[in-house]
Amino acid sequence: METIDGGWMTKISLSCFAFSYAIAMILEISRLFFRAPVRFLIIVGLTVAGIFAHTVYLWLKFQKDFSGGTPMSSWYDWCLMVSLAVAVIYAIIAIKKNENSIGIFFLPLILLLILVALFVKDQDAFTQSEATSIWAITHGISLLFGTSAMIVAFVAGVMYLVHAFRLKKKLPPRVGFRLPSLEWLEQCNRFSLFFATALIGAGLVSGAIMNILQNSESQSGIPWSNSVIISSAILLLWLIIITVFEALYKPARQGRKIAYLTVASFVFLAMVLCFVFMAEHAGQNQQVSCLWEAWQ
Amino acid sequence: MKLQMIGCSHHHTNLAFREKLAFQPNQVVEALAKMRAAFPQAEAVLLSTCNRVEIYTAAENEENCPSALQLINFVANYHGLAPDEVAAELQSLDGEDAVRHLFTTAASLDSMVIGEAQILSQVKQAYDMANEGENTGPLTHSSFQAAMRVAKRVQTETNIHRKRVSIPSVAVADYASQFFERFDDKVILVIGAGEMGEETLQYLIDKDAQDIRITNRNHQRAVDLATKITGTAVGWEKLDELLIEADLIVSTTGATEPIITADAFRSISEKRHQQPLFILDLAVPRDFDPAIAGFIGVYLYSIDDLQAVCDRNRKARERDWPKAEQIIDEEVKRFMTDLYRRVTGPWIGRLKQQANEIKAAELERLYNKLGNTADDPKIRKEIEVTLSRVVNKLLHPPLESLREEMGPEESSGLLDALKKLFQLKD
Repeated sequence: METIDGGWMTKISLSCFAFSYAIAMILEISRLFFRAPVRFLIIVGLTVAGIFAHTVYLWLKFQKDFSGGTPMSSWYDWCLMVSLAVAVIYAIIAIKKNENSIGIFFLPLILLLILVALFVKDQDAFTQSEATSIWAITHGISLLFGTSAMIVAFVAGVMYLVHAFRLKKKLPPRVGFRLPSLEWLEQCNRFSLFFATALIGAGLVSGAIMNILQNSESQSGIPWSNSVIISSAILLLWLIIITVFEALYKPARQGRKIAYLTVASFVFLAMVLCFVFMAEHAGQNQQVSCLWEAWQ
Repeated sequence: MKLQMIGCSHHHTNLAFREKLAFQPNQVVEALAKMRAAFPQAEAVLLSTCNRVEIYTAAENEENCPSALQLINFVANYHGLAPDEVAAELQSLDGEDAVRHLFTTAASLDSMVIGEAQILSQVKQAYDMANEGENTGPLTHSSFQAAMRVAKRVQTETNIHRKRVSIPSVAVADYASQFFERFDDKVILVIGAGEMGEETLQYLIDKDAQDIRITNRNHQRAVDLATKITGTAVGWEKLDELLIEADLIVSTTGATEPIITADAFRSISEKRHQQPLFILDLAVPRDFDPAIAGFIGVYLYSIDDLQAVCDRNRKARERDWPKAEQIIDEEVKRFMTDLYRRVTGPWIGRLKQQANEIKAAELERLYNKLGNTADDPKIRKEIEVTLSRVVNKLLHPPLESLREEMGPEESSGLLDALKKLFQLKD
């Protein structure tokens, strides 16, 4: 693989893009208090600059890790990739819905993911041998995009609940706090939840298959009584139940119910991720390096 | 140079008389053609809306511009009215006042609903029609183009146009748009065929609403309204079915008691499966029992809820009023300055030319008298420079005064004095 000379780009650090997102968030919050004509352009500019720095940072890290062993094979990398995916989705929606204050909801989550990445930075990366099966790639990529979709669904759900509350209480519209229409939020929430369920489901099933194979080959898999596996199974069951519930029970397809279910699903997912980061689900034990495999 | 306006508006003239003076679009074309025939050297723009009828006329040479009396007679003759009757209603403005009025009108600061966007397009349309009829000229071009620029400046630099103040506009733009992303796939139910409902429907149609169902106790009125706005009239007996299918309800009946009680709505709600429903109850007294707002998925807004937003917006507009006035003041001053510069410019040039001609003649006479003494180039140059200085120093104070005086009266007075004192001819 050819590497590129990063030049000045090698000086890009995590704080560069975190700072860009943080300033963009402060500017988004300032929308609540006063009007400023070029603020939106600055917010978009900072977000795009953040995404650029974020991408360059991950790319250079990928190159560096590649020469030293297994690239993109830690929870630190995984969290940064999820935050990058969410930042890209946010930028697209922000440009499309430029009059709405969606950054207030998205940007804190992006920053939180970066913070979580820092929190798990010292965890060991997955070994190269652990990252070589097709099931490992499926597991990692599905969970990455499933988590991103779930975050989008969660943000849309929270915005829906806030917006529905304001409208129900007949609170007057605020220039600095305009949200997308209830109809748009509901659709965004429903589609994101559907994709999140499918991807997380695929991720969990592939993880289970990977574990069965590892156990049958070398008894090196995770015990089935592991808290991460149990909580993941409950999460999958929960997602299947709400999908079936939504399909069969008409009122669940619209309004606040689906938003509540999404928020609950996200909380569930966050709990599972906490178990993953705190327990020895990966890193020292087993896990994948999906991009490494993809690169191979 | 003359620029004037005669006309009437909702401020001082009642609707009945405004209707008598109004020009339909085809009449505007005809009237402009007649004006061109009657006053061939004059520029003219005719602005006729439901709230105002105004004729702007202008001419580079004052004598070519019709007087206010001539215009009053023109309007009276056109509509077959008595000139005295018309004169009593029409207001006449000249020069800076006319420009200020045009700018204020285009910026929607003189409208019945301050900040309404329609007037700017009406001004533009009036200007376009005058252009097509070849009634415009340099003065109307510059004044109307400036008016449109000023209106856009007021729009962008103040909140006056952003805040809606009518109940139907607030209902659709500030509330319905918060519920629905699009209206073309929504079932819109109008209960009652009143004026408020019709006006609200216009805003919804502007948002591409297509499936509009109208029901009214008097079915014929529902049919009339449905025909007018291309909706569907449905019998009153099917009200419950309509309520089950609707996404958005606009209710404006004149009923003295609620037409939908909470108990009646319960069975409807069950059949709706909690599908979100936005109800605009614009009737007084209310058509929907306020308890209906408590049902899941139902968002019920009464006229009072919307009125509060209208009042708040009106106050916000009032807060921005001085800022808008300041913009108008700045722009009028700038326009008048440019205008008088354009008027005085040629005369200043003519005066300088006259002075230079005198200087050249005197120099020639002097060189002839001096004979060989004036052959030395240095001496010739010194004489010429000295004479030029004398001319410039003599002309500088009056010309500077003329340039500095931007007001129409002062400038016109000084210009006349200059013409007389230096015997400048056209």
